[in-house]
Amino acid sequence: MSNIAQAQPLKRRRPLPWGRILLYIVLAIFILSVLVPFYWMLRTSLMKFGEIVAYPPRLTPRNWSNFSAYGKLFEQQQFLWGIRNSFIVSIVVVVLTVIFSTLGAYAVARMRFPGKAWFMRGVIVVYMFPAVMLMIPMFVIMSRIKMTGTGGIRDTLGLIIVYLTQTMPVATYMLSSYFKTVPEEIEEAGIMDGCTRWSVIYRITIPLSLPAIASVALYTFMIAWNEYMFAFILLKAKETLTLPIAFYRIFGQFNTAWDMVMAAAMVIAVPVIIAFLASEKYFAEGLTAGGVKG
Amino acid sequence: MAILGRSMRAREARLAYWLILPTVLIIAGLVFYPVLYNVWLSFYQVTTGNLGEAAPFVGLENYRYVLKDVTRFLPALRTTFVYSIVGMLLSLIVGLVAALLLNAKFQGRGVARGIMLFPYAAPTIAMAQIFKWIVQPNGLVNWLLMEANIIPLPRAWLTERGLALPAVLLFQTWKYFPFCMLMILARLQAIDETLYEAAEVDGASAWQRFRHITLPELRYVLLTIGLLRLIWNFNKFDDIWLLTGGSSGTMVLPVLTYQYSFGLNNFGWGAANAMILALILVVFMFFYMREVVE
Repeated sequence: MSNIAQAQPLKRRRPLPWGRILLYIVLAIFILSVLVPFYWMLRTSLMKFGEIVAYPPRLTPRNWSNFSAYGKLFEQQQFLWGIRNSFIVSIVVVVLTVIFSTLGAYAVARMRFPGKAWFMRGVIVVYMFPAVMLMIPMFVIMSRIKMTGTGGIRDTLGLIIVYLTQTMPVATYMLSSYFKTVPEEIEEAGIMDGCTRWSVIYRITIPLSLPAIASVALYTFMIAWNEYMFAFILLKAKETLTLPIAFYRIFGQFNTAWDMVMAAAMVIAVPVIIAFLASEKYFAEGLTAGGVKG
Repeated sequence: MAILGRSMRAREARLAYWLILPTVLIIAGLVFYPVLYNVWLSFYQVTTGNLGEAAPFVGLENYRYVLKDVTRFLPALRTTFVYSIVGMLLSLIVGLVAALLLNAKFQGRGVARGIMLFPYAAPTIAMAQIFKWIVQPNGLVNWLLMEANIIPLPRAWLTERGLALPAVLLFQTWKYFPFCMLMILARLQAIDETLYEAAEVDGASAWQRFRHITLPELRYVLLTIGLLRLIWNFNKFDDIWLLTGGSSGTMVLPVLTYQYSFGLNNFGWGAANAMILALILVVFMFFYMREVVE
């Protein structure tokens, strides 16, 4: 009897979607804890001093179009130099990195040569390599060859060279894993048609890989733009400082001009967040598919 | 390529060497050489005064000094381990939760993913300033905690011993969980859907599916990024330098390397400190290469 009762179809009542509710709650916590600090930066940068120190804290600025902190910031010669220097350094690093890593990544993805495994191992070691290990020797070497402490273009050049150690491994990684996804048959057809390797690379592979190369460029830009430690060690003259160091120099370690500090943080952070979002797809794909096999 | 003959293959290898040459030069000249140079420095007494000249050889004296430095080196070693291991675990766990969330299908998933990457993409200098601002005694965090009756009085999160290290760890979790999230998510999306369908047919619960399908599939990626985060946290200079300057119980080996060299003007001590750091890292890197790359 009981068996029959159990076998009867249960009356279906749609249960509350607890899984979904939990999902949205946790998601909201995540989004809030990521966004609130960024919102606080924006809000503070638009406030007057009296509003900033108000207690309890005001959630919104009284006037959303009060850009006086930005105005004061852009009057600082040091900050303008910082923007200029950061752009110069980052763009030169991007150009050099893209050229060199495209060449190296192509060789790794497409060509057979003795020592390839060692080459890739070297790239991976350098990718993981602690930058802090280079801090002392780089400073001493650069001092000896007069690429730091000169107060001029040589310091900037020295910094650019050092940045290549930070950008080349990850760029080579990302690009070689992308090149491997370009069908080899297309290139073989090119060779059959009498193209040389070089023309295959720049007529076929590079055009097909432009989106990946663009994201490598953006990602490299981000590394150079954000870098703090080497710039801090190697740059001393105020005309040569990049933005993060200029920032530190303007405000020092202890400061109270939070509206200007937050305005400066906005100016530094917003361009790279945009660049990163644009390159994110290939960043994840390149790293997971290429080197870090999962 | 299959269509190439033997002499073509030799020519191809030659071209490949040309293509990787810039990368090889950068790795050899700007990473491997400075690292060897660091070994050399660690045996000499180098100061800013004798950067350009021959420095006196002191043998193992620098190492002896650093290893016996009970007020600086030993606490910093301990803090470095705590910081990198706890930080790695936190960013891994938070990153896993975030990745599982984003792997569910819901409206606006792409936007949510983009937002969660903000902290990772933004420059450390900007993030550190925002963090300092919101944990100020009169800042957002203290106000919220007091409103919620969790603390009676505002605390100085970054200058109070015992609070500074957790605060710095919170910052690193917030900043680096997106990296873990991105990597784990890429792996999650590569898991064969049919595995889950089969498990569902067999009546496996959501937990059982996570435990027996998802986790085993994620094992490698968790190991990989766990090691990477461990290595990178072990070498973090800017985060702690910018937040606390290494005060209030947050002194770590990378910051100490800087202090020995530039604060105490002894590059030999700094180099020896960096060497000890490197020896510990070689162990981590060895595991990484063996477990992940091979």
